[in-house]
Amino acid sequence: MSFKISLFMKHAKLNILEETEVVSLYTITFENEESSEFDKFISKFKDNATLKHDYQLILLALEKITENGALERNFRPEGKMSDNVVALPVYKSRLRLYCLRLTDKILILGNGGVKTTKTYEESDELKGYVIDLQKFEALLKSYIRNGEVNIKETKLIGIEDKTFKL
Amino acid sequence: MSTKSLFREELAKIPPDVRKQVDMSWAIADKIDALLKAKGMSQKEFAHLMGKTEPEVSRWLGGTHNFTLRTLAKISVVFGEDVVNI
Repeated sequence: MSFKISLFMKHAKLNILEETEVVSLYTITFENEESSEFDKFISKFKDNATLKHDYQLILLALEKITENGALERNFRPEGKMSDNVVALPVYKSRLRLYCLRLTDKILILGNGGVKTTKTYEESDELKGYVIDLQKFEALLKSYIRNGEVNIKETKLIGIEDKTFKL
Repeated sequence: MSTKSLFREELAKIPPDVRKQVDMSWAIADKIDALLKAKGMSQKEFAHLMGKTEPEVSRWLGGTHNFTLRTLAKISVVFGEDVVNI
């Protein structure tokens, strides 16, 4: 009998992407990586001719969100009932960008990919992105509970020098 | 290149017609949402009147749905007012 034990732990930081009067968009950058998770999503799909329209609509939806806030109806529920992991776009598309919608005023952007299976759980790649956001949310909520991080309107206060161990 | 500039640089490349499409679909979604609230109608009730499922109506409210004229006409009839003014 053999056991596989994963001792791999990823360290990540949260960076601000866009700040407006109604919302702040953040993204996650893993330690020792130059690109944020959202940058990786952009780099993967910016030259993809097949998914060009879906990719453009996701970027435009994010731009609209910076003007109007991250309203629940603007996202596709993803992840589990107990978490706040959501995806863009809402309409039928194979492309997914995974996000963590903390409030109408705070959105954390993750990575995404092409959904070729019926559920994200059947894809190791997509499942990985969702699990990263779920772990991130659990950690962030623990920091909020113990007062290390505070939510103030559109801002997450106290994350500047914080490393998240996922 | 920072994430912010890469995002903005990519946005700047999007053709005006695609941008216009999202301006219109977003405005229609906002209008439907406002009418639902003003009339005290639930998404479930609206879906029933439209002969659609709730998930389908949820997708309309997302902001990037490509509405057909037929759907817009029926939505206008259900609300008793035009959702798009031409």
